Amino acid sequence: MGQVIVVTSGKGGVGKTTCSANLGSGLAQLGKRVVLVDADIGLRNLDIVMGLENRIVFDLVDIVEGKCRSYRQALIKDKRFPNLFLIPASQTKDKEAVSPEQMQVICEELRQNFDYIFIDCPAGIEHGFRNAIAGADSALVVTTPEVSAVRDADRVIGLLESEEKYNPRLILNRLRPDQVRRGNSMSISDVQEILNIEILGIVPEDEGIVVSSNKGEPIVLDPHSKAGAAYRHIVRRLDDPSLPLSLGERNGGILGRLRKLFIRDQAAL
Amino acid sequence: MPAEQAQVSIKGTNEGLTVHFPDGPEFSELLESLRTKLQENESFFRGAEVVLELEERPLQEEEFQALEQLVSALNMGIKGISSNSPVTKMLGQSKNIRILSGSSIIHSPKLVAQRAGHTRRQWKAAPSPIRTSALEKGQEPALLMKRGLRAGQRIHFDGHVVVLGDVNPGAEIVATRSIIVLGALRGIAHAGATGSEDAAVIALNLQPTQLRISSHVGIAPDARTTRSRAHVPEIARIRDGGILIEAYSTKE
Repeated sequence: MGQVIVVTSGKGGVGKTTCSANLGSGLAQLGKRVVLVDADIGLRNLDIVMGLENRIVFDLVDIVEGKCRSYRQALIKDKRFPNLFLIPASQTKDKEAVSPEQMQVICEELRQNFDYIFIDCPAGIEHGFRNAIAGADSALVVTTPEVSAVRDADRVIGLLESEEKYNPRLILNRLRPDQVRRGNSMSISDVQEILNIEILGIVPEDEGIVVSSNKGEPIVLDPHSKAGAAYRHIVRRLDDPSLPLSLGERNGGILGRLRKLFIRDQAAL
Repeated sequence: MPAEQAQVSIKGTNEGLTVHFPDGPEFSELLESLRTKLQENESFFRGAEVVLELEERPLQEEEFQALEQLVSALNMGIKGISSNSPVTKMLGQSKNIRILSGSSIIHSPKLVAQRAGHTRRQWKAAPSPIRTSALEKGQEPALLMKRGLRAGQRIHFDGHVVVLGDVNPGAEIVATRSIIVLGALRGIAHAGATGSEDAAVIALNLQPTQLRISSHVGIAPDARTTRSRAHVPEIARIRDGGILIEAYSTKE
């Protein structure tokens, strides 16, 4: 039985879709059977980030409306991994085209055939959010170290906690150690102090992300990228929950510095 | 088979007499059934105070007035409303009737909130808008929140509020008495909301976005500190016509 993980944030533009694409690709690289579901109906993006836009025939709304025989027909096979699939969102319908109950049914079906099902949640806390979390077992909350993003993440965590089943874990995205050092950005522990949930992983700011999104090549597959390395670490932690949060290589490198910063940060508490 | 008549049920609970209005039937039918029951045992009900239990029904103004008329004819009072309907809760609030816990004190769904066990007896005698003299001196109702509040979560409580956890930016606590936060208070706190000038706000780490006590308002300095400092417990209260914050000490 696979696990259904919703990737959510509250605020838009903090990296939910990038995160879904990279975690899905990373787990596929480890040989897991993975499906990515784009629940952002009307504003689909995940297909572009995955570089699969031109292969779309059926989408999530078609499955719900019975326009394809089963969900299998809407599955788009990834270019790189035969064990990675995408169910795209509809571009033309809106969020009300799907109900939370229908999402639950789809998630249950997918669970039978995949190890990991990622639901890419739309921004906001309205109908689309309710749909995206309906069939999920757990939630990953993505935030950047900005006051507004953290505020929205806090709101979303509150909503998830009130349902008492999602065990939300945090991905802190676009951290800039240099800005933290200068006191211009929230630090890891500043964010942790407010949100107070388990940190699954920390992804440093990386200009390569924009390039990879535009090319449709998830950065987790790039062995030289620092963000890619961070995503690979998160992937390993998803697969093996006993693995501790590591903040990078033993010495040098951006992650090494990041780690020193975190340790100093904690010492300051 | 004759249609079964819609009935209210009346039972004795911790809160006193509770009148339960099931969701299905027309309210007017239920009202008639209540009228019959009250008349059958007029001497028993005379002067009693009752709690209305309304499930999901959105109670309308006219319905409430009819109900009020009925009970006040027997010198009875409505001391509380328990409901899952926001419409009914708002109506009750606008009538200054206590909304019972489990229904409305917590505005966020399923947030765990409990009254402190040892205040239970005091709570029974807690002040209702109708009868306010029943409390013994020094005894007041309190709400114990077993977890912190996140952005967007609010609590309103007629009494003291104690929070075991942090109150984050974007969260709000309104209490008619004092507010005590065993954690960091970063959101909005309004103590003494109905005018108690002696209400206080106490927190292990007092960094509210905004602090209100009675009709006084204090706002945080605009310079946002990104790095939090170690804090001593502090108390905010009204002194000389303004809100004064000082280190909390039991030596007064």
